[in-house]
Amino acid sequence: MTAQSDTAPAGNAVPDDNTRQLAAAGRGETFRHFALTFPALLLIVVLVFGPVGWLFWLSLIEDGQFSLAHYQRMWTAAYFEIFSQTFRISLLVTGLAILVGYPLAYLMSQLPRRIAGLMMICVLLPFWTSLLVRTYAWMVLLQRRGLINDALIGTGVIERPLALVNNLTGTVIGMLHIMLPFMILPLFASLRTIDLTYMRSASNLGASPIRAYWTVFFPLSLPGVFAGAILVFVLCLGVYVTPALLGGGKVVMVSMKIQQNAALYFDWGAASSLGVILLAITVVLFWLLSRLTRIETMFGGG
Amino acid sequence: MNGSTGLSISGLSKHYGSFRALDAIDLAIGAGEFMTLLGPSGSGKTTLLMTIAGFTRPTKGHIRIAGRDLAAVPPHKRNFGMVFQHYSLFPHLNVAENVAYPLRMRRMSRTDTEQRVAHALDLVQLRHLSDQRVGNLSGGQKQRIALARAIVFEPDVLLMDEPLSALDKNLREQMQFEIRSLHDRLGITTVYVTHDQREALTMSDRIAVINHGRIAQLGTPTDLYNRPADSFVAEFLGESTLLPIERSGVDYTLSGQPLRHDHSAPDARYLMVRPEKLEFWEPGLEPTHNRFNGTIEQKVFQGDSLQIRIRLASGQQIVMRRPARRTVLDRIGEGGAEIALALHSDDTVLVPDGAA
Ligand SMILES: Nc1ncnc2c1ncn2[C@@H]1O[C@H](COP(=O)(O)OP(=O)(O)O)[C@@H](O)[C@H]1O
Ligand SMILES: [Mg+2]
Repeated sequence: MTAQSDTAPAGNAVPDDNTRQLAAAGRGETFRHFALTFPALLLIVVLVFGPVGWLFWLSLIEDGQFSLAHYQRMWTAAYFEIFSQTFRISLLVTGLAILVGYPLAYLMSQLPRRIAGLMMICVLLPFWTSLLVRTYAWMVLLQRRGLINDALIGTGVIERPLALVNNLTGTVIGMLHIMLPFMILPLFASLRTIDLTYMRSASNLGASPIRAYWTVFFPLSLPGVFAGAILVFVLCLGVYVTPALLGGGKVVMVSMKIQQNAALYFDWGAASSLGVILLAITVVLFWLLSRLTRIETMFGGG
Repeated sequence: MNGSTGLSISGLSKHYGSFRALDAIDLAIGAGEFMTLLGPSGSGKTTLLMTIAGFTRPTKGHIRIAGRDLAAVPPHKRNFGMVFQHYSLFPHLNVAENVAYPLRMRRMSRTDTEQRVAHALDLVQLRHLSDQRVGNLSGGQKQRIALARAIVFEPDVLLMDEPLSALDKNLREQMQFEIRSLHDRLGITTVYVTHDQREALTMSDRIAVINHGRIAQLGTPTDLYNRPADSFVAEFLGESTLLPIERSGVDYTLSGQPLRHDHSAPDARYLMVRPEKLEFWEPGLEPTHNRFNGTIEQKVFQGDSLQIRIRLASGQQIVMRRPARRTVLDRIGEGGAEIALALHSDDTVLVPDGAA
C-alpha cells in the first residue's frame, strides 16, 4: 500500500494508486532532458571517435590486408628516439611555460581588472597572426646574422653568433612562444578565483607576505597550474610547423614523421600507427598522473 | 590563556577621497573587555576592524596597545586573532592543520603545537573533526574551527567581523552564547562587529554604536537601551516609538500635555517609548506616571506576547507590548475601544535628534 491510500476518502474501494504513472512521467522527463544533449553527443561521436576509429582501422591494414606490420616496423631504436624526443621537448616547453607564465598570470591576477584586461590582450595578440608568420619571424630574429645575434655582437656581449635556430634551442623558443597563452589563460582564470581573504587570514595568523604566498596562495594555485600544464603538454605533442621550420632537420618529432609518411610516401597506415601510439602513450601518462596526484579530490568541496 | 591587554584608539580617521569612512574615532577598550561595534551597513565597522588588524592604513590617528603605537607594525606582527564573516579556512589544509597554521608560522615545536591544537579544538568541542577536510564541514562547524584558529596562538586581541551572519537563527543564538562563554574563560580582549542589535545586547560588555564613521554612543547594553543618546540610537537598538515633543519654558510637552520625566538631554526633540514599558493605567499610578489616552487600532498575536497599536488622542500612533496572559487579554478591548496607558517617569526618555 502506498501513502496515498491512507488519505484516500474512506469507503473508496479502488485505491487511487498512481505510483506507476508518476514514475513513467519521471522517466519521460529525464529522457527529454537528456535529449537536449543528443546533438552535441552526436557531434562528438562523429568528430572525435569517428576519425580516431578510422585512424586505428587504417593502422591495422597493410596492402589491403589485416596486419600488425606498421606496429612491428616501429619497434626500432630510431622510432624510440623520435617518441622520446617528442615527449622530452613537450615536457621542457611545458616546464618553461610554467616558469614564464606563472609570474605573468600572477601579476595579472593581482592587478586591477582594467589593466589586467589590457595585459590579457597583449598575451592574446600572437593569436591574431598566422602561426607560419610567427615562426618565420622567429627565424629572422634568431638566425646567425639575425637581429638578436647582431644586437649581442654589436654591444660586445658575445664575439661569435650563437646557434639559436635550426636546432633544439630554436624549436623550444618558438614552441614556448606559441604555447604561452595556453598556459596563461587557464592559470589566470584560476588565480583570479583565489579569495584574497585567505591571504589576509594568513597574514593575520602571523605569516609574512612571502610565507603567506608559499603556504596558502601557491598550493591553492596548483590546480590552475595543472590545468595549464596538461593543455600545453598535449598541444606540444602535436606541434608540427615549429619544429619543422626552426629545428633545421635536427629535431624530429612524431608529428613530422607522420607528415613524412602521409605526404611523402602516401603510407597512411604507417602514419596512422604513429598517431595511435602517440595517443596511447599520452592516455597512459595522464592516467598515471591522475592516479598519483588525485587533483580532483585534493580540493573537493572547498 | 590570557590576553589581558587593552587597546586604545584615538582620533582615528580613514578618508576615501572626500568620503569619511571613519571620522575621528576615539575608543578605549579595556583589558579583557568584550566590545561590540554596532551600526547599520556602510557605517564603517569593517573599516575600523580592518584598520585595527592592519589591513587598512588610517588617514590619521593612532592605535595603541599597551602604550605602543601600531602604525609601523604590519598585520602579521600584530598578534591579533581574527574571525572573518566567511570563515576563510584554508581549503587545502584539514581541520587540525588549519588550527596549527598560526603556530607553524611562529615556528612552535611539534609537541607544543599538537597539544595546543588539541586544546583549542576541545574548547570549541570539535576535536573529533581534526582530520576532516574543511570543505565537508557545516557553517557552524567552520565558524568554530575559525574561532579555534584565531585563539590558539593566544592573541592579544580577538577581532570578529559579523562572524555569525551566515548562520541560521537558532545556531546563531547558540554560537552567541558559546563565543561569550569562551571569552569569559579566556579573558581575551575582544572587538566584535555586528549589525544585529540583539546580538550586541546579548554578548557585549560595552557597545559602540557607529553611524557615518562616528561613534554615536558608547556604553553598556543597559545604558544604550534605557538611555539612548539620540533618536538614531533609540531607533537602532530595540523597538521604540518616537513622538515629537515641544518645549515650553524649562519643560517638555506632548501635544500640550506636560511630561513628567527624570532624564532629558538639553535639546530633546522626541519622547522615546519602548513598547514593553507601557502599562495599563491605574489610579494609583498618578504621582509617578504619565497618562496617555487613546483608542486601540490593532492587536497582533505574536505567540509569547501581544502587540497593541494605539492611536493617541493627539493622532499619533504608539505601540505597546504585553505578555499574552489571560489577565492581559481580558483587559484589552476590541479594536476601537478606549484605553488609558501609563508610562513611568523613569521610562519617559526624551532624546535629541540624531543624524539618521
Ligand atoms: N576601499 C574603499 N574605497 C572606497 N570606499 C570604501 C572602501 N572601503 C569601504 N568604503 C566605504 O566605506 C564605508 C564603510 O564601509 P564598511 O566599513 O565596510 O561598512 P560596514 O562594515 O559598517 O558595513 C562604505 O560606505 C564603503 O562604501
Ligand atoms: Mg562590514
